[in-house]
Amino acid sequence: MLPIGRRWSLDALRRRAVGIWPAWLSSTAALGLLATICWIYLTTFFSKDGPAWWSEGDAVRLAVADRAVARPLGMWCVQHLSDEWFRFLTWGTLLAEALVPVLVLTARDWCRNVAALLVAGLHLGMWLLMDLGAFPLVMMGVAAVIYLPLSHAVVADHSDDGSAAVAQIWVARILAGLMATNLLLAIDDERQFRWPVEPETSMARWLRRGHTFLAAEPVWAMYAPEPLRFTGWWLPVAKTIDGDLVDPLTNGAPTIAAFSAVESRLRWAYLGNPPSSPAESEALNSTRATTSTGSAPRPEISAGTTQKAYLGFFLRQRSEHAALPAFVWLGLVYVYEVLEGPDRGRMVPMISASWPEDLPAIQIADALQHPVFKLDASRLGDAHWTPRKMAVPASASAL
Amino acid sequence: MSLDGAPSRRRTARSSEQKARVANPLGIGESLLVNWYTRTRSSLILAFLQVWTRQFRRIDERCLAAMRISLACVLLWDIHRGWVLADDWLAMQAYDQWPLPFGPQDPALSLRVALALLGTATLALDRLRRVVRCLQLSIRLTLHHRLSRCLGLPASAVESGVANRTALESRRAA
Repeated sequence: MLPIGRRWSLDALRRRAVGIWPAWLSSTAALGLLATICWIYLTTFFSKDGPAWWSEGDAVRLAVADRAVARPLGMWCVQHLSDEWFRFLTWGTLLAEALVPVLVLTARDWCRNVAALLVAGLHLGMWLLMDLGAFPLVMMGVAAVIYLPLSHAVVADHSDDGSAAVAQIWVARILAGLMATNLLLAIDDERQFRWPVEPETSMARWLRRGHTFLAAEPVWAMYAPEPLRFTGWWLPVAKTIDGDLVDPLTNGAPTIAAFSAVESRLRWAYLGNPPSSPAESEALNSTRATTSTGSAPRPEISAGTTQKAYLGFFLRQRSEHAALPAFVWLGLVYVYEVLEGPDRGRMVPMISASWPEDLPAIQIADALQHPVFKLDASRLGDAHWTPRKMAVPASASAL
Repeated sequence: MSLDGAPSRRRTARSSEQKARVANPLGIGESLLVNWYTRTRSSLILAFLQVWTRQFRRIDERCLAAMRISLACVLLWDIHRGWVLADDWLAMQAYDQWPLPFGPQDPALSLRVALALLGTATLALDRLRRVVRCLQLSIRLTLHHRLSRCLGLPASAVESGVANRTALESRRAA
């Protein structure tokens, strides 16, 4: 609906990309795009109500220190910059997110340009410090539409608009209807978020699916109400039938040493889900069961979904590749790193799942040459929690 | 801005009422006959909103083009990244089963096919006119992200959201 091909495009060179949609529809789309940008920053500002964002000012440090999204520059900053710098960045982020919608809503040229700079700067910083995939780049691209050049040579020539084809009015009406539906779904999504009601009817379940695909409601779960106060990574430890101890993810020797930020870029980028507790997994399973389309029942999982899925992935991958030696046993360890309090920076390897289930913890401790601890997924991030030791390596206990 | 400027056939046929409204946008003459205070105040508010909306919705054509080009580049980069990660994608997202009703036999292949189709459709839609052109932006901004969310984000988003909320509530309780 927006005339996005009117400049710098092949159609523009051929002078074909003009006047495709009625002006009222393009205007409404432009209004919707700018309103969406305002809505994005308003909601993200209001959803960040945790103390790490406000009173403590640690949110940016916690977010940048997350190993799952680590970048070399971000890790360098975490190690070398003082907490005051991160407080400045945290409150600066909040200020920028609050200012952008206000400046755009003023509808003044210079305010819009300042807002565009703020958005571009915010997401450029995010992109340099954290590996968040395409998100910062998309938002930097979107920031372009906020910018208004001071010289309004904008509206070049419309001399050929008269010969342009005007879209069928029914298509325009359908699109306007879709926009309105999207808006209604976004409002209903917000209603479900604020006052959740468990869907009981088939119609409600269909609506839920519609929300997933259509609704424009932004959901901020990663850094809202505040970032996680811990980080960590998964470490699979296995013994093959050849008697070798391996990390099947890297095919190297298993070690709890932190991997570099560069290594995290592809192999580890999305392997950042922390372990889940059985209670959370049951809740998640019941949520998925209500929205599931297939008739195949999901297996009953007693432990956390995340660790079971990762364990199953490694076992399945090994069974599918005949060239790789089979496992005698496999343990999945979550190396928990505390990001605050007196134990800041301490790394604690915790056994999350194992195959077979009755695998003695001492086997994993021996393989890592490091004590291993018991996982309590519901206590992760709790500064007052001290993990309970399960086993120490046989060599260390002999001493 | 040009979004308003492009005349259409429908806009050229204005009724006499519309012409009168253009000549006297606030309707001051009529307001004296009906309800002087209310009519004037509401008309002023409407006029203000009309002016504000016109100002607010301005978008430069060159900026729109810049957004189109940059989003296309980001999309291609993201597809490349998804291609590299396709083998490990399901496990990375803590899915033990293929979440979509099609292509469960070979999830990595299905994911790559979906990515290829998405890229092809995006490029193809650039060249088609009228009906499909309007869907281009919504496909780039909506389908791409909805597909990514459908494939990947629910597990991580839900669980990290639960973990965030649980951690915060336990801290508040303490």
